Amino acid sequence: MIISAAIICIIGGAFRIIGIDSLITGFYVDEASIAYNAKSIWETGSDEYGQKWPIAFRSFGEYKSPLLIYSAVPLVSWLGEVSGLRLTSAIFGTLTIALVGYYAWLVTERISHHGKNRWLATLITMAIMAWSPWHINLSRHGIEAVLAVFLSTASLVFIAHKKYAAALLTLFLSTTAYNSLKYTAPIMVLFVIFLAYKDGAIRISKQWIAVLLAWLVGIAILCQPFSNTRAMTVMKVTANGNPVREVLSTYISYLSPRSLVIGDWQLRNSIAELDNLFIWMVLGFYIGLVVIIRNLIKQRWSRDELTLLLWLALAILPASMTIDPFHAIRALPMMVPLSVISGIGYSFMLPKSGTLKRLILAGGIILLAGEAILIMDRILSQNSVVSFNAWIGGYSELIKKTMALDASQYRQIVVDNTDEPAVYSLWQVYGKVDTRNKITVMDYYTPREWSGPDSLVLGNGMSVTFRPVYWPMDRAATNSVFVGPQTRFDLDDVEEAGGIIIDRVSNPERKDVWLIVKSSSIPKESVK
Amino acid sequence: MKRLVDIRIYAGLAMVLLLLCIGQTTIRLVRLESTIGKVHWWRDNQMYSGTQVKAINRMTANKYLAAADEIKRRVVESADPNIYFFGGHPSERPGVWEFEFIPWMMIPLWVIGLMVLISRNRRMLNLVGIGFILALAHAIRYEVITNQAIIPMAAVAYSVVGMGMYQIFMAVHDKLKK
Repeated sequence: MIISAAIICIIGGAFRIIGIDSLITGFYVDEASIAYNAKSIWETGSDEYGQKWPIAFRSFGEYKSPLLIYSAVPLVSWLGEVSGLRLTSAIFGTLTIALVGYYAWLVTERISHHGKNRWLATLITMAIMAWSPWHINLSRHGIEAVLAVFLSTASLVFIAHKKYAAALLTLFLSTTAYNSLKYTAPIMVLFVIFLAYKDGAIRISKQWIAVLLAWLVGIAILCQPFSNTRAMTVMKVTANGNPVREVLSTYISYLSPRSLVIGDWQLRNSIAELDNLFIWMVLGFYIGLVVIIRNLIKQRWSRDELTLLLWLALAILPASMTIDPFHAIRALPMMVPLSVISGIGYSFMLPKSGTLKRLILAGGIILLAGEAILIMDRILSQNSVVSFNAWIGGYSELIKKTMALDASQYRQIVVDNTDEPAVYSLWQVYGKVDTRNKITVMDYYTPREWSGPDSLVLGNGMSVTFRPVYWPMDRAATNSVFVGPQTRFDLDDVEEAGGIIIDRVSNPERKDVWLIVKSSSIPKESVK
Repeated sequence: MKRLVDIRIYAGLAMVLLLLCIGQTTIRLVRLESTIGKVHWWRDNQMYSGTQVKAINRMTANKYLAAADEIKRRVVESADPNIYFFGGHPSERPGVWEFEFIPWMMIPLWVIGLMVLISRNRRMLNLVGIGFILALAHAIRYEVITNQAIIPMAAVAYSVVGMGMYQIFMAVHDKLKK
């Protein structure tokens, strides 16, 4: 059985690691910001703004949680920004599979009353986590929520082991990993304190003093305006009339089969042409919920059931307060209780032994093999084509081609940032901007209206300016290079105005998506 | 015991009916141009991305997989509580006239009804389960999950709300009697 668990972890790891360094589908601006700051911390001890060892990283008008950035430093310094950051995330994602399996092993016997199916429940839980397209997709990218899920699973393991001080410390760490945990972890802390008090585990010791100090510091940080900038911008409770109806409808939607199976509408937050969760995972989740609720009502419940239900209820809350239809990243913490509950559901349904059980298991293995092939196909073929634009695909090639130009021949090089104002972070990474060149900012921890830097000096000494390109006006600028999406240029007018398309980047369907356009050397009139 | 056996036979029959509906819908779907078009689109993407292993490509882009995707969409859509209580909010479906079948204020009654079904009334749970399967079999035959498609499912949801209402009524009644 340990071999089966190891095989599941290895396959889960393969789903998360194969092809992560490929830039066919791009490297998103948030990932670029995290990776560049990790590099900057390694090389200079400060972030892109020159802030020494920040407790929250200022980024695009909000503040990123610091833990993933600090955790990514070793691999980013070793493998570079893209591979380093994505591998860090993939490692945490893979470790979560093992940890969630261990947690299921700890709690299923006490919950399901099916001792003989304990291993099966563990393996099914691990398989759900490993095969879940939702968790696979996010683990393949530098996303903070993956680390937060790992830490929250660790805290559940500590709770199951009744190591309450360690659980509280891990919960504290999780608040520094992802924004939504800032709001749910403190509620979980109250529950852990209640359990510890009930067990008489709270005593004056070095461990508990460390916990107290950590949380005092944590609360002081969590109360700061910069900690809540993100929440303030996404909270839309009262946006559409009755706030109770709004929150309740969104909350229920996170438990509905449609949302769980179909998932997020944003292409980046799902694997193209693949479900968010396979339907059998969701079915097991409902069966597991019935088992647990029945135990609760019949008062045969254990503290593990209560912990699982509480974590599930809390994990959905921050996502549902934002009234988006389904947000895969914000709701990712619910993957842990969902997979364990689903494992419990199947272990309850399957017979304890006999031919039928063997047949069902054989069918299950065939299903997983088929889904493994489907996952890899969807990641490597469908996703790289369908989600190309959503991931700002081809931008690395665009920067490489721009940097190959002889800058001395042109008056200016202008990069369009109309659709993506934070695109400068990609230039920091691919343009190999020296981390000693810091962006100027007044009062680092005070949230204020954001605007990116006006220009950057790239690693080869080329200076690029960031602003929206508006060709009818920009056609008048002589001997300038404009870099941006094809949609920003009127190709007929480029020719008419004496401009030249110096280079282009196409998507996998061979359609031009990015252009490098040089304006005429002779002055032209702008079009009013 | 006899009653339980009867229920199992009915549940089995309902499952057979659901499987027949899935089979019939699959046969219908694989012949549709939209299904074939989707398969071609998948194949094109495989070609564009340069990941071409013929055996695997066929396995991951075929009309049966496209049909299964469509049936799955219909199943999860017809079982979505948000469609019954909130007119699909917050994921309103384009091209469908969304309608709140049950007032959202009745959600507590629905939850109580579910709790009662799960914990106490096995026979009723089986009956509601059979109703759910039959309603699903009805819904998946519709190309678009319109209000007409989910009327039987709404009836199942109403019966659960009714269970909750009955439970509260009985609780109040017992309290007053004491």
